[in-house]
Amino acid sequence: MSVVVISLIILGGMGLLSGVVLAIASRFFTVEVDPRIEKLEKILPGLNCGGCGFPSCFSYAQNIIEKGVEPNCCVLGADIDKISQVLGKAVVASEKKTAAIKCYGGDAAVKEFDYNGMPSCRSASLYGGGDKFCKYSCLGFGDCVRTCPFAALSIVEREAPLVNHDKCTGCGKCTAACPRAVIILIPRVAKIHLACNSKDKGKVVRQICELGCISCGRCIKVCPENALSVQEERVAIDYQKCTGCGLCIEECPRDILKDRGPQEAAAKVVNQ
Amino acid sequence: MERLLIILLSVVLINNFILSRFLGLCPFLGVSKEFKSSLSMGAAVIFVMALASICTWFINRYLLVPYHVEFLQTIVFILVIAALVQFVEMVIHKLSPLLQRALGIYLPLITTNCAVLGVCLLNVKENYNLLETIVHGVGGGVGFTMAILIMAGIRERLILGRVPASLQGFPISFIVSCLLALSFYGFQGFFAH
Amino acid sequence: MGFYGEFLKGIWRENPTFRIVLGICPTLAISTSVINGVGMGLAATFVLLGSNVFISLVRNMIPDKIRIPAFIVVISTFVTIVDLAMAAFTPELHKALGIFIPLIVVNCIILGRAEAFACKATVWMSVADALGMGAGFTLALSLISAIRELLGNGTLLGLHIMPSAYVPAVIMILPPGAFLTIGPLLGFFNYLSKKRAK
Repeated sequence: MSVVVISLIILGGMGLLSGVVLAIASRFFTVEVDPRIEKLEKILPGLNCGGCGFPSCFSYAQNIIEKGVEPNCCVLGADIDKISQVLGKAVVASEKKTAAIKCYGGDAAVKEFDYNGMPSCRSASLYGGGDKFCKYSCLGFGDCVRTCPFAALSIVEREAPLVNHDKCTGCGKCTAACPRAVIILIPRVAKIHLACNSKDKGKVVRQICELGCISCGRCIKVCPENALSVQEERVAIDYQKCTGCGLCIEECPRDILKDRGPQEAAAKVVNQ
Repeated sequence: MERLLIILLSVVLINNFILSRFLGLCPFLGVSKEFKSSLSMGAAVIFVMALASICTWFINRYLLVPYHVEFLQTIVFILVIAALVQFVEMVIHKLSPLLQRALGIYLPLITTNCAVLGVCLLNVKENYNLLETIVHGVGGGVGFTMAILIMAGIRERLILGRVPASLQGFPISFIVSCLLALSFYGFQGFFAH
Repeated sequence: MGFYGEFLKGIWRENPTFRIVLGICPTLAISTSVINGVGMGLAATFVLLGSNVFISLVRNMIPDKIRIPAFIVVISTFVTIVDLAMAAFTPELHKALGIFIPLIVVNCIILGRAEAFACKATVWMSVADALGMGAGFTLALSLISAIRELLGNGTLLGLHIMPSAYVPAVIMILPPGAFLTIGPLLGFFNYLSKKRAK
């Protein structure tokens, strides 16, 4: 048989065989996809930011339907009513959160040694717990700034980062990136915030940081709602009770308690 | 046995697919930004290279050579690889959601990868028997994975370095690959006595 | 954009090697001498031209789902033609280019242009695009090969250019040299385009 005929038979045959096999396979190996998943996916913003804890909006929709994950985890604020409609049950919106920095140490935190390694917080924290005496301080290399998918954080090197609360969605990627849990999520409606992360005793903090909370307790005595208490050597705020009256801020001798009003304004100016 | 070991070592170290033969550079530069995705890509490549080598070897031996139509190699091989990857993707999607999540998106990328077609053509050129073909295919994938993992590790740290603006991205990756290729070049003459 | 515009686009603004960074595998492997580089460039241009024209001709007849396999079959046909022609008429070049001739099939440039351009444009425009991209690719290859051959061998197109006192840096024609050439070149073109943008 001539070469032309053989080539035609072989190529034609292979093409036909591939086509048939793939067609049959696509019948046998189809995966049943619940149509509600696609409907949910359309309601979700589609930015794949990871704030809900899943890698993509499609993955989140899939997990809601197949694994019964809470449907109110979207930090960008997907329409809760529409989600309720698709799922056929009422969904309660979750509390909105925003990022807050628990250390404004920077230069005020006393340095233990000179660090000349990679400009990364995670790297620096591996070297003897970081180059500051306070092992809970912000190292200021900006790992959190780099992971923020919404560009809500900015930083001057070796100082504390600044949060742009207009852009922050409370997705929590920065909290995962920080090796010392200096940046945390607090309710968006919180009015007052304590800017010290240290778990050392008050008199130790007095020696190693000019801006650290020394647990003097004056703010606790002055609070009319009893919203402040001592937890792990530091003062903690109960956001259910705090009314934002600001008496504690006036009382604090080291200016550790921060009013979130002006802080937001300052952050807005810096990030413009 | 000794021959198989020589083939394996040479394809992983001496004639590394990426750093010596320049096959598979597109995924090498594209996927090597993150360690985890590089691992998945490497696993997918090993898998596809092994399967493709076996299939194309059989087709070449029992269909193309006996009928003297070796010139059809290019077309037939690429068709087989494309169909094979499509089929494997469907099977994985149905049978193993775990594998699907790990390798799924990388499989279509490998279809038009020079490395896979390259390894099939090399098997034919070197006249390997079936066992040698399998070793060559798997070894090629292992070498690819090794190079891409090293590159991913370096690139993750490179983000923190201060690279001049014009060199950011591809240019600095190429210069880093040059240093990698230089170090692998040291393996030349491995089997000389 | 007219014929001339499409053609020029492939040479400078969207040069496949230096701007879009496609088809790097053959670029680095082949460019050990200018003759090899130009030979590969011309072979790729021929395939690009043939496939662009054919795909543009039948663009309305191919169902969307089997688009990519259809493109691959067309491209591999033209590659086989080039392969056999080179084996017959330029056996030395064929041997020098080795397996990279059949590997033109998976050259991202050709599949990329078919997917992004030829299946949506008229035949005449596809010709312009193919010639432009092919010329751009060939020019890029020639540049890289010239640098590598000059520094690594002291020759250009086989003629000794460098003075006899020059000891060739053999590393340039070895794999590391390929990476070392294209890295700074890409950086240079990035810098040029940034300056132009300002």
